[in-house]
Amino acid sequence: MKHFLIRFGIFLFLLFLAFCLVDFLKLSHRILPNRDVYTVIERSKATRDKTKVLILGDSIARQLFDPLDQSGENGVTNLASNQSIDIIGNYFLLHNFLERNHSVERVYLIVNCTSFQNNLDHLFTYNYFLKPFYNSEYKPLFTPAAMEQIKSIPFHRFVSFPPIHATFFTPELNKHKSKSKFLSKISIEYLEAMETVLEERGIQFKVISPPVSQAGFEDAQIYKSVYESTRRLPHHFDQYFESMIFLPASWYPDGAHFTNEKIKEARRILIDQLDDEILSAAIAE
Amino acid sequence: MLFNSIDFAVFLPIVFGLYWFVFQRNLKVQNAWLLLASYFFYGWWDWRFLSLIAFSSTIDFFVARKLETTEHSGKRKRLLWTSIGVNIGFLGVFKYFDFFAESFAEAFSLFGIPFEPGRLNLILPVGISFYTFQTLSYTIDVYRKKMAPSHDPIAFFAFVSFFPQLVAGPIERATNLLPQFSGKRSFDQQAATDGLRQILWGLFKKIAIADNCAEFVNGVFADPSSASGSTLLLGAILFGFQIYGDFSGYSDIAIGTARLFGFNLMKNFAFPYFSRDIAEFWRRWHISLSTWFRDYVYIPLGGSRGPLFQQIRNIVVVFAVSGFWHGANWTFIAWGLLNALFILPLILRRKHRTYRDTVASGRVFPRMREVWAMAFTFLLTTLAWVFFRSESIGQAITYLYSIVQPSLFSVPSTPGKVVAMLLVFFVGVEWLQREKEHALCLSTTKIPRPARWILYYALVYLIVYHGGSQEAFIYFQF
Repeated sequence: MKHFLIRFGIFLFLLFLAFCLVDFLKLSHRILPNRDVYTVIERSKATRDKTKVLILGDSIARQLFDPLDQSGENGVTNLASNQSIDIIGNYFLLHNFLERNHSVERVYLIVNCTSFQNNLDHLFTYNYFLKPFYNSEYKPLFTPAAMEQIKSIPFHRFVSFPPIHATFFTPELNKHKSKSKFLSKISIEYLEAMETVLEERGIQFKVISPPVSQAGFEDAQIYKSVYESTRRLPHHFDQYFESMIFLPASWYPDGAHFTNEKIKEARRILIDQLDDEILSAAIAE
Repeated sequence: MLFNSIDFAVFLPIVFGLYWFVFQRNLKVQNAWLLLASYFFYGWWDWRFLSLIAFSSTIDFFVARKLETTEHSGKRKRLLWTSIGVNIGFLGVFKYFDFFAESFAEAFSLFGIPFEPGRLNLILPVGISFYTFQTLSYTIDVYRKKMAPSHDPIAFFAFVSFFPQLVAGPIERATNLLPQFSGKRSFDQQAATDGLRQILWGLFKKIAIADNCAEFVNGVFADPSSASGSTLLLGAILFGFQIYGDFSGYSDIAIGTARLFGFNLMKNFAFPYFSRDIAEFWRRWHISLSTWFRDYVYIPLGGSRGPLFQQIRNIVVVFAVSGFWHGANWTFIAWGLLNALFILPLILRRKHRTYRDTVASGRVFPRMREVWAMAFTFLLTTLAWVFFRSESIGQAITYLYSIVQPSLFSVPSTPGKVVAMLLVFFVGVEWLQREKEHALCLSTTKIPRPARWILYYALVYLIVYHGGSQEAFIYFQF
């Protein structure tokens, strides 16, 4: 038994050291499924002083606008990544970018309806939000409501522990899912925070939906009626539902993202609607 | 709690530590600790179902005790049927009631008779199909006087609820496992080390193989109408890998974990996809269930003896019931019947015992006819798996029909290079190790420790960094 425990202990210790090394070298940031988040965090800290249009949003926005990101040279920077970073994650990216870049004129937050329900209780919150953002760098930006929600997530204290941080480990969050209606408390808080910081800098702000599958039309109407019954954030949402574009379901193999063949066309349709000269110029290139 | 979860990673060392360092001196206390741990493990899913397993165990314990002192054949039969009634009754209520209600409603509607039965909408207790069969085997063996009943309730309750194999097997026989609770257990370093290897391989099969295949398979089965014939075929093939990786992976983890505690569970999978005919496949796939049905259903019905009609009936009944055991859906029955259809010709021609050894035994490369035989058998099982995976028989038939279209010869969508490489690695290792107890059974004399450890770390790397999204074990739903 003694030999067994010693050998197994050495095995585990060496494994622990390997995870520490992977974490230190940030190798996991290039391999794990949440690598897109680390990519946009890095991008949000870059100096891109030609940027006039900043895109934030979910994976659909990333799919549409990543090809337009030319390191800001064409006036466009895309920081859209994944719905799982929630609105709060988008706020942190915005905060990072505005600290270093002062030429931004317009910010588009392009997210699907369901993003606003997230209250840091998503299945992927632990990997896509906590691991990249729950650290000393962003802690001053957490509201009390956000901190309270984070504290209810199992193992949140261990998120920086190398074997956890350097892997895709996540605790089961289903038991802890809060029942947020459309527009969760944390989404509202951070939308307002975005509005405040952008107003202070005289930056235009629009919250819009990516083009949605025709098959999702009824769901969108349900969200709209829920929103209208609560009427929060009218400044942002009056246009959100009215300007929603519905495209054929065949364009969406998974109901949300576009087929490779339709990305260009979907992007053009959205940009035409936005009537943004910089984005129009970017796709013309 | 799932085997591949942090909860289990915390649970197991605590149970192990107290088992060997605190409770080892007293067998009764050690068994009591296992019982407590096992009930905790099961209650972690849903504490409400602890009463079911406790009740089932209590009934069977006292039925067996009574059988010991009863010689009257009528009374003995009544006792046996009490046990069968309780255990099958639980299954019937929790698993099959709504299925029968809906089936009756559909049948009545065919005749234009409106019939709206009530539905129970009960949550299926995890593992109920496994532990009810395990306790049933105990009472049946006691009834048949194959074994003496246990006089130790702690040992018996621990045998029924033994956490490594409680929720998804292997379905242990009391003749094998119960005596191990009655005898003193010593820590065996070699067995424990090999048990850890088996756990590691089980995790690899589940996380790196099954969960990765699941992502692709789920996409294909969700919308088969938009996939080409070649993609549908690949989806069916990868489901075969998914269910094998998932289920045999769980079994490996269960067996490996049991070995840490000094227990030997039965082998549940013996590299079934290297089978040369369907009869060999069924000797290698879910061995604990197929032998259970053989010993407690097939042989009592007459087995392969008697007139032709009876032999055919017995095979059809066993496979249909086996399919039905898997789930309350006609697709599982269809899956079972299809397998019956495949195996019938072999049994009736007495050619079902042709392959008793391992394919290409002692050789690295198989002969061409062995390759064809394995490929054909794999194709048959893949065909049947489509029914197993589909939501309805109609969907399964449509799926199969859509495979055999001109698009079968087009380039399929694939799950990606990484998954392909993982599958090649997986099949390669299983092939090279097919004559061993499990695929990671390594010779400590032929392979030096540094090489073994490199392989272990490589597997950990593949599990951690190339595993699929966490999916529930498929057999938890049974």
